Amino acid sequence: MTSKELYEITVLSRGGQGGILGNKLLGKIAFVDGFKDIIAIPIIGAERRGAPIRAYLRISEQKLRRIDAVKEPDYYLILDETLLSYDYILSEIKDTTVIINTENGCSYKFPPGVIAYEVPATRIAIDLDLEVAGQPIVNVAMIGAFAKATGLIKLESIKKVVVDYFGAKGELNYEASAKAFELTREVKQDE
Amino acid sequence: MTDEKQETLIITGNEASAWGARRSKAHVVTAFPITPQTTVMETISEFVDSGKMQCNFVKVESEHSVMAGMVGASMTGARCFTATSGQGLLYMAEMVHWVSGSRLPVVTTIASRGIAPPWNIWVDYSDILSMRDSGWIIQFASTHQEIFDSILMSYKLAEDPRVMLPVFIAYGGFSQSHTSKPVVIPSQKAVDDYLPPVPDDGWPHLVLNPEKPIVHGNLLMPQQEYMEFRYKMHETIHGAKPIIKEVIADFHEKFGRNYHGLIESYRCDDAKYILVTVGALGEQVKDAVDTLRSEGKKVGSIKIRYFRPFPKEDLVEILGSKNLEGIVVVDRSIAYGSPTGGHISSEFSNILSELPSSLTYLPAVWGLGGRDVTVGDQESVFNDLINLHEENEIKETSNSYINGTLWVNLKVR
Amino acid sequence: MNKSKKQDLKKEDLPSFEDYRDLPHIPVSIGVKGSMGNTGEWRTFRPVINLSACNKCGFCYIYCPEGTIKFDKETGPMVDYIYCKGCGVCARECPKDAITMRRETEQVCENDEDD
Ligand code: SF4
Ligand code: SF4
Repeated sequence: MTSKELYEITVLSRGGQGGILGNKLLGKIAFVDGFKDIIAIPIIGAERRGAPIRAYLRISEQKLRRIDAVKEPDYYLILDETLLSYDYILSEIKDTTVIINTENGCSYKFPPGVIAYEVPATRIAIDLDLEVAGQPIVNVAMIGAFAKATGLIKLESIKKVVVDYFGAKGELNYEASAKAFELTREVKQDE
Repeated sequence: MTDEKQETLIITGNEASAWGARRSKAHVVTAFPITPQTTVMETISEFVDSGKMQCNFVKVESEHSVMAGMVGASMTGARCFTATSGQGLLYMAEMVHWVSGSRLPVVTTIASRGIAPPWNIWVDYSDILSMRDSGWIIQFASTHQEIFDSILMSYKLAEDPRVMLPVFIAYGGFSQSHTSKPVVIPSQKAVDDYLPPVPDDGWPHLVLNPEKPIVHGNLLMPQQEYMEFRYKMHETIHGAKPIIKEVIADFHEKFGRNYHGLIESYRCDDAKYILVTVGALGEQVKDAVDTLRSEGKKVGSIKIRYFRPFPKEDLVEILGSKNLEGIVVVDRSIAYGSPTGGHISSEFSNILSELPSSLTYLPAVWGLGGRDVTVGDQESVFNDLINLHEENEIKETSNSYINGTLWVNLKVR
Repeated sequence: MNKSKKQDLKKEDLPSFEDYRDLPHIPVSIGVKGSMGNTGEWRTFRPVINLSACNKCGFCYIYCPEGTIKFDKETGPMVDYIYCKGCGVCARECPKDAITMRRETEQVCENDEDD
């Protein structure tokens, strides 16, 4: 773990993928892991299934007073690769780390200075039958990828929180995050 | 989560509100959904459904009935709780006055939102401030913990026989109602030790008892004491100031969390410039103060916690300091046609006569309808104030200075 | 002529407040008969019930805004003239036209049956 006191994260998803819940769970996990304060900020409007959704998370070693939107996140957690087809989203990604759900290699190019990780979270969810209303739920798998890419949270804390939160379905969610942890890898930008 | 031990939960502001009702053992909750309050009532209904909270959870057909239900239930001596937002609060406005005029100690949380039209569901305190003169005590909760803690403190305050007035606790729609933060939920026993049960035989002034029928809500003729009853309420709400401080001190002793008083000041001791505001942005602005202090600017901030009663004496005490050169008072609400455009800044003008006349006074408005106010925006307001004081004009800013009021990030060509 | 006896509450019996500090939190009335005083004094017309035309439906008892009509299923309605203010609502609502409003200056018998 680095010595930074504050980490800011932007979670991008589509309505129905569990991005807002995933953001809150990630905050819970960071708190369980010993961060002093967190704030999970869902940006809620008139969204519905499929619409691009955004949520912010701050995790901190200090008490947090801010409630404003995260403008320059340390990490992007992108639950759906197709969100990068929006220019306004792709263009905001600079000098940061992105963790992206993709199966066949991310087809979008980031500017230099961006560190990218990829994880086949949708594939993991489908393989594990982790679905709600026919849609694969990738949020907890993405948290596993976040753990691997950042080293900020531990797998056992993910387990504790998701089992506590989902009850019976928690084990399956945890399995998804452990699998994602295993499969997350850094993308070589010049590949 | 059990009731036996203290735990820290990561919960939304609305969940913190529901927990406040649960730990206060509210007997009656009336419910009607409205965004962004709805999840307060959803959470309470889950508590009731799972048997974790014993209360009469009454679903009614409108906000008017929500507050009418509070009147009837509270008259029996029950501890009563509800929550609403924006348009819902406006719809219950008539009954809001019935609660205060009947001197009933109801506690209501407001997840504040912009008033329609055009529709808006995000933080804006114009809803709660439209209840400015309703005779309710009006408090702003600036953190999630404060939402929960304030409910406990508010029952203690409202049910004090010297007060017997209802309390509104307002916090930001979405910005607080739907964001999640750690909140310490004390054990039920700890809360019971702090907040005693309601009296067995009802409130001292009013109780419904079929054995002893009374008529309440009487007509008072002009020559009768209508005016005296009104003055008495005004005096009582002002007289609540020391009682609010007692309640806060008692809470501090019991739970170790200090809410300071009617206002909370931050780095004001040697400050030359002070920003005054309410709510969560009053907490966030401390980050802006720290940044500007590190640049050598002597700034501080004040968070107004209680708007009714208006903390005039507390403000004068801090702002009367000889070091002070400028004050900016920022509203997250709009008071159309008022002297400044903001509720608090307009009202604040009344205390200027008690402050040194050399002071620069800048009213400002930010973040209406949930528009994001960043720490950077808050720094810009301080810089504009310093600019105005030193140069007598505001230059190079993203804010608009129009007719004496600073409109933060207003789109102007 | 008004036959009602002057009785019940006098002005001195009603609480009076010289100082707002002596007031309770809110005004509350306890159920005292004639809390508005002897409203019978207000009357210029008085309702007279012809019991032989009355079917004992009880409408007058229900409609009287002052609650000054006593009602008994056997004997029918009876007006309490100490408090009846003479508004005439009972006469208007009576489906049998059994109630007539008579001038106070007229000598009439209460519940005049052979009117
Ligand atoms: S005249 Fe009016 S007050 Fe008198 S009995 Fe009839 S309804 Fe009642
Ligand atoms: S309303 Fe007329 S008919 Fe009915 S009880 Fe009264 S007097 Fe008799």
